[in-house]
Parts: sequence; C-alpha cells; structure tokens
Amino acid sequence: MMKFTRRLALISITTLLINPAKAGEQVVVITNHTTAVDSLSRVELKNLYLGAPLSADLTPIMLPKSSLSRTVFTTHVIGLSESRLQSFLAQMRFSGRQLPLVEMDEVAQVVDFIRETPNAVAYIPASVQLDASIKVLYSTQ
Amino acid sequence: MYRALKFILFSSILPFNIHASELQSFMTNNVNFSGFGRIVAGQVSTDEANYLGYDNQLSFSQQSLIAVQADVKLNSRLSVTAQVLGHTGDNRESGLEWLYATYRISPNWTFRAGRQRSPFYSYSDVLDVGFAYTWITPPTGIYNDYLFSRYDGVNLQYQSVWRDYLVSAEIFHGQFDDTLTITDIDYEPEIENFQGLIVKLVKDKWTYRASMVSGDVSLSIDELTGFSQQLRLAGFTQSADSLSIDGKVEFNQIGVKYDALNWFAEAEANLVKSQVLVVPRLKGIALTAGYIKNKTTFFTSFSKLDSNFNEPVNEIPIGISPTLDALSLGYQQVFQSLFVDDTRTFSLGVRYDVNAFLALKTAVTHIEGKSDYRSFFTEVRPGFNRRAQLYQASIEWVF
Repeated sequence: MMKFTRRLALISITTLLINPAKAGEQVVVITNHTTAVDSLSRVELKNLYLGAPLSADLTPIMLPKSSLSRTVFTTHVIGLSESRLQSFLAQMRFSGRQLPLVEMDEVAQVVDFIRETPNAVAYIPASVQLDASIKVLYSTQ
Repeated sequence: MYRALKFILFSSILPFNIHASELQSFMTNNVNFSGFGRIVAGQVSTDEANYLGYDNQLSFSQQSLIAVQADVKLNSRLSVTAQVLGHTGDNRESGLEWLYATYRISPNWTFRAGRQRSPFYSYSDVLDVGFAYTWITPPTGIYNDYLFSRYDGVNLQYQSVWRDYLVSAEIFHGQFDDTLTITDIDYEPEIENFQGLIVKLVKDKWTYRASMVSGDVSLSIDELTGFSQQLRLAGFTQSADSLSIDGKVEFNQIGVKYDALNWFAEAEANLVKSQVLVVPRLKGIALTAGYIKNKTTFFTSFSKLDSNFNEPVNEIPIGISPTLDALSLGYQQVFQSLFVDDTRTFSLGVRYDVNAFLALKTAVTHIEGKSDYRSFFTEVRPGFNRRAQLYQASIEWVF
C-alpha cells in the first residue's frame, strides 16, 4: 500500500513537471511601478531572459529550479526544457556573452526586491496579491 | 601589442594600496568564480587504429578537463575575465586559455580585448564546455583539428531586438601563434590578420547563424621550403608556387537550429578555402536531432567531411634528364603524401541532466573513412578499412 501511494505521489509530481499549466499553476511577470515598460510580449520576455538587450535596461530574476513557477515560465514563456535552458545558459556564460542570471530563493523575497528596485523583472505565481507599487507586464492566464 | 595588453589586464585587476578588509569586500562584491569540467571515457572498437587519441583500451585521458573562470567587475561597464584550463589530451596545452577585458559600451555594444576563444562555428567557443551541448564529441565533419581554440585580439559585438527578432553581429581581429596538431602531426603556424564576421538571427524557436572567418597562415616546414626553392631555381615557378605553405585560409559557415519544448534539430555546413598546401579545401555538414523526455535527451547526429587538395601543376618535363625526372618525382610525392581526412560519422546517444549543474552522457559513434585516406585515424595498421565505432561516456558539470 505504502509503495502504491509513493508511486502515485511520484506520478502526480511527474505530471506536474511535464504539464504544469494543466495543473493550474499560472505565473505573472512583474516589475516595479516606476519601470518605463508597461507590457512585454512572450518573445520579448524570452529574449530578455536569454540575454538580449531590450530598449529598456531590465534585469531578469529567476526563481530556483525547484519552483513550480519557474517550470511554468521556462516551459510556456521561454519554451525550452530546463536542461536545454541550462545548456544554453552555460554556453552564453562560458563564451563570455552573458553573466549568470540573478536567482532568488523565495517568492516573498522576489516581491520585496521588485517593490524596491526599478527595472528588475521577475515571474511569480499568479495567485500572489500585489499592491500598487508593482505592475504586471505579462501573464500566462 | 598583445603582450602589453596582457600586462595592463593583469595590473588592472590588482589595485594598489588596498587594505585587507577592502580587498575582502572587493572580492566578495566584484569577483565571481565559476567553472566547468568533464570526465570523458572512450574506447574504439578496433585494435587496428586509434581515433581522437582513443585505442581499444578504455581511456579517460583524451578529452577530460577542468577549467576555472574568474570574472572581475571593475565598474558597471568594465570587467576582466580569466580562465585557466587543465586538459588531459596530449594535443592540448593546459594553462591560461582566456584573459580578456570586456567593456560594455552600451546595452547594444560590447568590446572585448585580450586572449579569447576563436568563434569559428556555432559551438567553437564552448567546445570545452561539454555541459553546453548535447554530444560528447561534436561532429567531426564540422568540429575537427583544422580549427584552433583561441586567439589574441579584439572583438566588437552588437546585439539588438527588432520586433520579435534578436539580431547580433560580431567582428574580430587578432592573431594566433601556437602549436596546432592536426591528427598526430604538429604544425607551428603563425596566423596573422585572423579576422571574421559573425551574424546571428534568432526568432523565437529558430536560430540562424552565418560566419566568415579568415587568416593569413604561415607555416614553417623546412623540407618543403627547401624543395620549393629548388624548383624555383630550376625555373618551375608554378610548381614552386603550388607548394606554398603561406597564404590565406577562409572558413565559411551557415547554421540553423530549431528548439521546441521537447525536441530540437540543427544543421551546420561549412566550407574552408585554402591557399596553403597542407590545408585542403574542406566541405563539412553536420545534422543533429534530439528528443527530450523530462531530464533525458535522446540524440542522433550525422556528419560528413569531404576534402580536396589543389591539383599538382603539370610543368616539369619527364624523360629528358635524370635530374628533371627526380624533381618531377619529388614533386608528385609531396602531393601523394598529403593526408586526406574525408569522414562520415553517425552517432546515437543519451544525455541525462541530473540537476542544473551536472549531466551524464553516453554515445556511440560509427566512423567511416576511406581505406587509402587518413580520415583522422592514427597508428593505422596495414589493411585497416577505416571503419570503427567510438564508445564514450561522460560526466559534465558546471559550477
């Protein structure tokens, strides 16, 4: 019975990883209300995270690999599997083209950082309540 | 000039009159250490030849390496990067692989000066970083010994976003002056005016790349120079010219890649034109496709390299005098002794990403050359048909 439950748990985790959107998780991409940009397209966001300069000088923030929001973001916005993304980032970093992305451990930490820092961009779960100091640039919903 | 540059780079990362506490705070805030490594095990299926240094005994010491990179941020625009590499292969030197300064002129323009990686083709500047690509050994049809890993010089990059297109262009100029080992033969080329233009276009899942790289190569092979002079003295200037070991070598490439969520495909083709006798005209292609299931990537690749040397000039009359006959024979022999590396490779492999820093790979590559060619094989026994399998497994990491 124990074994069966464990397997079931494993299957449900795998399902979540493969298709997080189906599991209901959605993300929004946020920035400080003073940032000059009001919205970004999916491709613009992808370019930003993969090192392209946008018209505004924005700093993208990542959540840790264990975060479901990150899986949703890499899958639906960047459109790469985590392993392809990691390969690509290693390629950029060790050919001297891009420094490592800033990563923060907790959603709360990210929200605080965005509240205080203009021009930073981050994705967080869509369910998080936001105040007027933060605006939404993109949503997977 | 490049020596002076190196000195400036070194001295600029060591500020004078600095207190221990200040140094500590500078190190914490501005110095970023990272690196990569790979342990590659390989073995060929035959005891009749070696391939990429591997024989039919399991070896870990052909492609394994470790590198540490330090990025020192001097201010918001200027940084210095140094990379030290330790390589187990006989044909690669260990030591300072990179030392360059990066100046971000604007978000669109970046300037780099110093020792940096030669960006011939799509993966040329990350060939040592196994974690950054799918294969264990990048397809030899494109990535082979005719390339060198680094140059000393300057590089200017431009990057911009136009609608959904990401456009980047890069120009560089520099020199290379080191030993280059083609299969198992060492050459000491001096490459001046090593320069190139690379254009890249990314539209969401599609990446296109085209490059033109060239260099003025000068080799010193005393026997060949002596013989060439002899021909010139005898009045056979065309023959003497055809044995030139100085001249321009051009590398042209086009590549396309498609990256979907659970599969990818890429193709790369190159054309090398050469005025240098020992470097043939090369035509290479490589096709790779992969399917991704969770952390596992299944991949396959095919590559092909065709080469041809310039035809010998028919200038020296034979049957007139023994001296001319000997000269003609010697001339023909030079051409017969040139190595042809035509190859086809076909490989199947699996990559498993343990986490964001570590990947395991295994691959089998079938190599097919022609029986009278070298086809990158060494230590060849008579009668070897230039067909073999290369079995490889690797651990790749970044830190």
